[in-house]
Amino acid sequence: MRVTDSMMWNNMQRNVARRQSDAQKAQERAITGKKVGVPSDDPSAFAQGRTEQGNIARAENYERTIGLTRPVLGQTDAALFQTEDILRRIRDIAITGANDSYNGSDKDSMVQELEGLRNQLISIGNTSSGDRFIFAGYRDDQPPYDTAGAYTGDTNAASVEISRGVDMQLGVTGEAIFGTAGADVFTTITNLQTALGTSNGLAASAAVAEIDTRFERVRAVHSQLGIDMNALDISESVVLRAKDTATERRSSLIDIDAALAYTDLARAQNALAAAIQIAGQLPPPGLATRGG
Amino acid sequence: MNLGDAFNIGRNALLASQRGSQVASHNLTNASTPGYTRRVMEMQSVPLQHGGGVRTGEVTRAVDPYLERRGLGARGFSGESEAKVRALAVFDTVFADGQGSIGESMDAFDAALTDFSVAPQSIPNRQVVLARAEDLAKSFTRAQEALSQARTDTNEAISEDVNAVNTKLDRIGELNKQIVAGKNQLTDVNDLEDQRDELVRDIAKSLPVQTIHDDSGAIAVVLAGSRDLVSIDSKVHHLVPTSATTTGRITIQRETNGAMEDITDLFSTGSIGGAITARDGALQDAQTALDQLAYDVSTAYNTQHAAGVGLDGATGRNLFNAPATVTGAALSFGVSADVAGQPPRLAGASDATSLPGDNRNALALLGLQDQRVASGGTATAQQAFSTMVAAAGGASRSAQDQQDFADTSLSQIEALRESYSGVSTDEEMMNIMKYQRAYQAALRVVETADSMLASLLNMRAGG
Repeated sequence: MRVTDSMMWNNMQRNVARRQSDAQKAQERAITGKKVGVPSDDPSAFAQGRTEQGNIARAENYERTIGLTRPVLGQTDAALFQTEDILRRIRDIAITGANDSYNGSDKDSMVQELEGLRNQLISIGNTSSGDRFIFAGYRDDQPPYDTAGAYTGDTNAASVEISRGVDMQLGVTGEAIFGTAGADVFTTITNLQTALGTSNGLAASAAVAEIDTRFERVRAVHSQLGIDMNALDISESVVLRAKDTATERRSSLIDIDAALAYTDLARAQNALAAAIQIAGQLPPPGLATRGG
Repeated sequence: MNLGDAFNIGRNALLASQRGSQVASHNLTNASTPGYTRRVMEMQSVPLQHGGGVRTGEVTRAVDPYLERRGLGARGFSGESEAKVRALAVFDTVFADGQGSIGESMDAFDAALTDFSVAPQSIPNRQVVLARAEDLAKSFTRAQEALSQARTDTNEAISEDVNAVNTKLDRIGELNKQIVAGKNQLTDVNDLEDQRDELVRDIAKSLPVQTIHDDSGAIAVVLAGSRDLVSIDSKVHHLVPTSATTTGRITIQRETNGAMEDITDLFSTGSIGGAITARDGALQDAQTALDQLAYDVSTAYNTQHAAGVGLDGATGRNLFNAPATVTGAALSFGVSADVAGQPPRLAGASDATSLPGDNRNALALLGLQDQRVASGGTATAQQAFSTMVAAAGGASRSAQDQQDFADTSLSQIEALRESYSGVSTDEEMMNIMKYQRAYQAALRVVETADSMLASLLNMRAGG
């Protein structure tokens, strides 16, 4: 092939330009730590990386929801323990009251104590987390129990999504713990107080039975709560694992191995230096350049 | 032997070697002139019965028509891919990940809805939802604006390209006339032909052209094998770009017999063709897909939001502006005036009697991330976005690959053409030395003839 001067120069220009572009790209990859920075670098890896980024964001959403749910469940747990203690005490009083061997002043103090226990239960029912009353159902912006123990809350309990497709009840309604109006623990306390006042042993015994039933209900709610708290932990580990997997997948699609990035950069820079060096040696010795 | 012939031979040889070294010097000094083709001088021996010696013939350009033709095609391909890469470069910014991108705005909106669903009564949570909804809408609008800008830029590039081509067509027509006239007067038109060929090579980058050579020295420049841009009679047919104000699409027309003919579809290659292909293909697809997604997303969230109840107990409000049509949905994407700046109006509840803790509608809004609301109910919004990004990135990628390939093939053809038509300084240096020797030899011929003549005259004088 006949080789002309322009061919040599053009060729060299093209080679240097290509090496420069390669070196620039290698530098970009090393600096950003990404092998896919823009969609055109690798369209399918980029799109998949975007999906994984979405999965990571979603896992973080669940993590946050779980983080906000856990303290509410913890408060519910504590409230249920307290309620159980109080119910036990009421039951003791009812059993004592059913026994006629107490005098009038003993019964008066029992009535007084029951009044105190009622107030404790009301205050448990009005437990709040932040500005939310957790046993008020949806109507959670105001205390669900008035001073007489009447429920003004809502009958639904809010649920939240704690992992994909898994909803969890966020707390319970006051009615689920204390019973529905007319058949709640506060009615039982009032009945018991009346029974004590009239020394009605039979009515006091009936109160014992009511307290037993109520206690079972609370225990059932409590054991469901235990199951929920356990489920929350499981969900959290599932979500964390999903986040790890997504992060790893995204990294393998988008990120570049640091060692590889630096090796590539060094190679590209060497190639560029070589091309420039050779360009500096142009033109090769020729008749027009011989020394005179 | 006739001594006069010897003088003649010597004189012609001197002239020939002078002319030879002139041509070699011309070549040597134009080694890096763009479009210059090496000159070749023809030399012939004169038959002895006609006096003998050497005669110089025509000085011609070393041109290989086959390589020239292939060069035009390669330039068109290179221009086409370059224009595509330029037009589609916008995708890498519009669809890149990062703060303010559509992808991350979707993620952030879902995060805000998550918090909203956990505590729907919280005004700060509601404010965040509104802010993220605004961000989401803006990310669509910004992306569509960037794509529209790319479309405008591409249209302008087409228009400028066409104008530049018209100017060059005029010059080709002018050179055509000069070359025909020059040939008639037997003057050297090589340099004019170089200029004309260079102009043809220039416009070949913009549009698919071929040339037809006429014996008169004129060429015809033919677009896509069917439409004369410069005729053999040197008449120039200008290309006319239309205005893009109404259609968003510049078309190209050519005057034929006084009527304008739309020849946009003839631009199969070249930078004009590449720009048209990118504009009406990948760019248009991305704009349509973006509008469709904006329409689907705003409609889906509006429907769900309108079904819910705000803290004020009212229902039936839109979260986003309801798009009138799919076209333009991305540009008009925004938070609806019904709820903008009024966090309590966000409908987190399903029932006016269960305020404010009712989060059922908030959960339903959040759940839309898993609903197939996009692409005619076949994909979630995120999936549709990923598909769009992959398609756009793919178009941009294949344009870049095409450019790499086109550049490589162009440089190969250019090297072949250069190898045939280009100037080698070594070669020309040797030619100069060769003609120098020939000149010296011719001088000896004259000297010898002269001394022979002198001897002859002396002999006469002596006798």
